[in-house]
Amino acid sequence: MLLGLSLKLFWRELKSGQLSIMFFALVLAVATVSSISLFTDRLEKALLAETQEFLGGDLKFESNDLIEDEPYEEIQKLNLKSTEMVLFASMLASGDNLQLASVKAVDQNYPLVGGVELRSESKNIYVKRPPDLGQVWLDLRLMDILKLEVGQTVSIGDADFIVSHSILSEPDRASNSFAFAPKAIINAQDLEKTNVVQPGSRVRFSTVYLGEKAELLLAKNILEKTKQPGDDIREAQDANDSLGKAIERSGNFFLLGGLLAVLMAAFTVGMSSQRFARRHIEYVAILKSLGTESWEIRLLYSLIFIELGVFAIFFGLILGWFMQEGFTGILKQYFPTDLPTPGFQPLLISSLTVFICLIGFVYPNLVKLVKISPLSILRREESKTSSSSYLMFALALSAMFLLVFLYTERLLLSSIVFFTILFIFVLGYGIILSFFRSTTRLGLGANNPLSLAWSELHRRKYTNSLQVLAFTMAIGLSLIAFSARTDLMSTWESTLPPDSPNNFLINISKSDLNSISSFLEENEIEESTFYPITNTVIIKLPKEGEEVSKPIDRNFNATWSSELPLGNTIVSGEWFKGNSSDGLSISNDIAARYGLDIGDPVKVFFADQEIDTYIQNTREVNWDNFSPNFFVIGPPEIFKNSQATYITSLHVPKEKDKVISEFMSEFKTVSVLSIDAIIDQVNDIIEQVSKALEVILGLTIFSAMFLTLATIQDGFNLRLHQSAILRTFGASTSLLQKSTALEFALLGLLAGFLGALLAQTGIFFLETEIFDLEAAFHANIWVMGPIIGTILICALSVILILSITRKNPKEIIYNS
Amino acid sequence: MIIKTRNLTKKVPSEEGELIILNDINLELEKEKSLAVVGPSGSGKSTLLGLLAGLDSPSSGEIFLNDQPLHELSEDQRAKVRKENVAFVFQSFELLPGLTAIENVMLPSELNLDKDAEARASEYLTRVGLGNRLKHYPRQLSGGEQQRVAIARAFACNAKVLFADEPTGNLDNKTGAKISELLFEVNEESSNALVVVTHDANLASKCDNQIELSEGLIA
Repeated sequence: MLLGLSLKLFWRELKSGQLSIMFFALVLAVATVSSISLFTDRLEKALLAETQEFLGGDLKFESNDLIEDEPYEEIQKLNLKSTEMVLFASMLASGDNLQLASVKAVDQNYPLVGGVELRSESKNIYVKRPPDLGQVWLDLRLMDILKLEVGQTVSIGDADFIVSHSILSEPDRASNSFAFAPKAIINAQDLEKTNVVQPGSRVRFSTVYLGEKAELLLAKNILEKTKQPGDDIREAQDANDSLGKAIERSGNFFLLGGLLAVLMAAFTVGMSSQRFARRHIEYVAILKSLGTESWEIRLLYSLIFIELGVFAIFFGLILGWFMQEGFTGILKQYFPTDLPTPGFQPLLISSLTVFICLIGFVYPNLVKLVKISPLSILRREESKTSSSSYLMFALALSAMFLLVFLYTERLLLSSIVFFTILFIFVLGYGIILSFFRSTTRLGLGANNPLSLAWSELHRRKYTNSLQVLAFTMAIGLSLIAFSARTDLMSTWESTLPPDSPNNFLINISKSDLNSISSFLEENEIEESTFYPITNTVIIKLPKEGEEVSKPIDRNFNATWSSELPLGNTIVSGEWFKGNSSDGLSISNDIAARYGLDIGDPVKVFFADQEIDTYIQNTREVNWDNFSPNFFVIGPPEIFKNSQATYITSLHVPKEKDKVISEFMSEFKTVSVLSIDAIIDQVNDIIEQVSKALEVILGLTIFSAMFLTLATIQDGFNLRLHQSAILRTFGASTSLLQKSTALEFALLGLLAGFLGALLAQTGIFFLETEIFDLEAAFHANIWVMGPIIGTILICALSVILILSITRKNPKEIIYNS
Repeated sequence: MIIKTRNLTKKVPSEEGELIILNDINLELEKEKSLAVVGPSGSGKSTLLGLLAGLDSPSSGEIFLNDQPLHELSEDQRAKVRKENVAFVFQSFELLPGLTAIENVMLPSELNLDKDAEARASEYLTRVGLGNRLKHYPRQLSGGEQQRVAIARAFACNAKVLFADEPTGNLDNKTGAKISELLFEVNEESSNALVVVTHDANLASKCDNQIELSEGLIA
């Protein structure tokens, strides 16, 4: 019976428009959440696939030697797919043309994930196999330098190979060694006949594994045990390239927009349900007088809101699906493969959002409604602050925290967002109460608009403070969304200035330094620092009381410099200065990953030397700036006798592209890595993300409008009645309109200031905690907040008061 | 004449076409006289009161209140006429819940920019026997007391016509009798005209004139 009655009531309320704002706010929340979480879910899956492809599998082991038999056999027993590769540098020859290249010999299982994109006579193909015997695939740059065409012959060591294809893209680009040199790929069975790999030659043996998490973990443990200094173990999730970072950051922007829209929807639902509960006092009175018990009334209204929730989820999900298709369409071109289908988790999160909103923001109002005694209901009295008001407050706060946590999944960040909002609320409440605390003079002050508005502000200080807080939310969160679209995006854009380095010169010998400088000067290309690099292995030495030395599980390309590189900031310890220039500087993430602290003793192996030293400082490294960055830097004193090659980065304008080809012909042993394509991709992503963010900003503004409308509407029933009585006694409509406009303009101004404060605080944490950007003062939001607050809220209140004053006062009185 | 109507008609749209609430009503009321409008529910009594007081406009016909042609005036112009000429007492009191008794009574005087609003309100509340309840809010008063506040508010208007719509409708017999006595007593002191819509035969019998409405017509 109750279900039938609840359905009837729900349907009637929905048709009459009384549930409209709540319904649309919930639909918008579900649509926003589902679209964004469906999209980010697919994005994450695509990113994982991308990083897998980048590594060539899930787990990679690289060593100077083959894996020993025992661990090798142990791993073979696991249910993992694997492929083995041999990597080495060799001179390739074609007629008189010679070029140092990175050669990769691959087995029959290559590639484990993805495929190799090749070109043969202007036809592009995508293959999932190694090269045929006697054939070689060369990258385009290498073909250019060696002046080779497909079908011609090239020598590697003692063997000749036919160039069957040029390489456009390949998986497994994350190889540690020789990655930057132009590349050639041959079949592993051809390796022997080249005679290049001899005892003592510099070769890296690499095995890539693909499989389930548990099996991979077992394999990783086996490899950890057999690992020697200089060996390297990498997992797919370690991949941290600029493109991945850009996509991850755009995901953060989307989630932020979603969270803001959801928080506003939650508050809208709270405000609207308060009004709903007030309107239903008489319903409850009649039901109670007919003998309905409290639990039945509670169940009836709970059912109505569950029906509302289900309805909102249904329509919200449909809308959300189309929206995420739109987002996917915008960014699809940046993924090499089709985006994977989304999982069920986003649908779960959307549904959970609705029910958290309903439990946290609606249920307390229902409790309040059900608790009112039939007598007080018949006398149309509202209950004073009771324990249920505190319950409402506590539940709403818990729901808000839960929602923030659900989206951020970070306790610290959730606490920051939650307590920032709470702080602004307490501040706003305090300001309003202290501003209007003095008792106003007797009477309503209905003799002129200003005194009527002033008197209303005093009289309604408690309800007004709630309204101001809701307006503050709407304005503050919209300003955050706006700022994310404009200021944060432009800060992100400015991390990639137009003259960002787009080429790396690697493997430069000391003797080439002067001639390269002259070459760059002649071609009017600005030169930047040449960093010496040497391959190092670092061992953490035991501290006092410890017995065992722990090798760090990877080797590093270290540099040395007396100047702190641009974009690096010291986190702890001191940069090399004067006498205290005998330690190492390491990046803070390496310090965290390997548990290295300032002062920890370490042994460094490089070339044929070994040195005992210590960790002198840790640095924050800006990996976004496309300049050479180093995990390990030493003072020149330590490495002065080291044999080094040099690395530098250059910005080569588009019109000087040819200079790079000339450079490569002139300096054959120097490798050039062009990252123009990556920079273009990142820039494109930023541009597309800002387009998608405009859609999310639109959604957030919609949510803000719903919240503002619900808030203004909430107090208007009382105003409707009051205006009718005032007009009955002869008050003019202009008096009521002007006083309402003045009252709400002041509330809007206050909410605008508080909203700006909320936005500035929120943006500070977003900049520093989420987007790794420099915190800044955003003057524009301090101007926009109060102006938008005053104009928007005043305008909306005028629209509503106009609708009220157009009504016949007699009808209002007789129908109320 | 303080009130005069000519062929007053009020129609409202409905699903079955236009519904005639009042049809061709002609009446006159002299200054300082009282008029009771009686009739069954739905006969158009409250509609007539709303039209006579300028709360609503007629579909056709003429209404003059203190020689002002209400049928020709806009809502704001009618509000001005109401401010200068009219006071109300409603069945459900219609006090503003956020204002105390004295503030509710002060309201009409405030709208008339009367500087003595507080003193006058206090005086009228004392006259209706609520001198000791000035600072009470409506919810702290009984139904009878709330109606007394409404009567005090009506007389604080210094109006020429007092319109009372079922002033005893929400009260028990005993309280109702006291309220109607008070209404006539204070009205006599103020020399106002009085128009009362009522079901209460006792209250109607106290008026100088009576009209009975039936299906929108004067019976």
